Amino acid sequence: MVQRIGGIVIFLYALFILWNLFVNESMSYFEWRQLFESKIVKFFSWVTVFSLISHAWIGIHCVISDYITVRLIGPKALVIRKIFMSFLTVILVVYFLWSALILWGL
Amino acid sequence: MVNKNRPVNLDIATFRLPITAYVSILHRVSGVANVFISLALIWLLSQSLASEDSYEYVIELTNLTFVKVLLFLILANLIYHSCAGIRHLIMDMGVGEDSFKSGKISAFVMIAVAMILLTLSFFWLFL
Repeated sequence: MVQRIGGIVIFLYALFILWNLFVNESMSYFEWRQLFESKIVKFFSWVTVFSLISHAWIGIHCVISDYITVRLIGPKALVIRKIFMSFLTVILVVYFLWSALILWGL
Repeated sequence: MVNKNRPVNLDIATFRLPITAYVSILHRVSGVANVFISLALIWLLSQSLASEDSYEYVIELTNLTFVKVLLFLILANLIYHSCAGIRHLIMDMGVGEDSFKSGKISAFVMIAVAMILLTLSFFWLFL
């Protein structure tokens, strides 16, 4: 369920940003920044960051648990799966901190 | 006791898969790609918001044909993943998940919708 709701949030956010780029193609830096500074967009951005991290974590976890299995690649599967999941966790933590820095800097 | 040596067909190349299987696999592949695409998009966002100079730099960058081609591929991936995701949501609500035939039809419709959106985004980016 988290996966579904997160997916919808990310989709709506992408649509919102693309729409803004589409209707105002020659946006100035000032206008672009103002868009992200507004309280409601900032809130939307935060919700999207959390959605993206959880959506990616669940999605990749599903893919890894389906393909990196003892039956498909042998007894080392569990160790390899752990390595992949730790790698994914590091990537997503970096994404989260970076996005948080961007949003705090506004 | 479960027979651990039971025959299992592991030769994926010998399977003939229906369109629904390809749609599902591509949804996964595009999802994995999105993890890496996110890195590029977060970078673009940070540069575009950091300062007026870095904003102008991003604009210059996105005007390069090479970068536009990359953006088009990113958009194609996002469009595909979104369409396949929405198809799943519709099927979750109980529409079109009753038979193999309806699954095939919705897969074709989904690909058609994605193609139309892809064409529109091509015109938006390059014309």
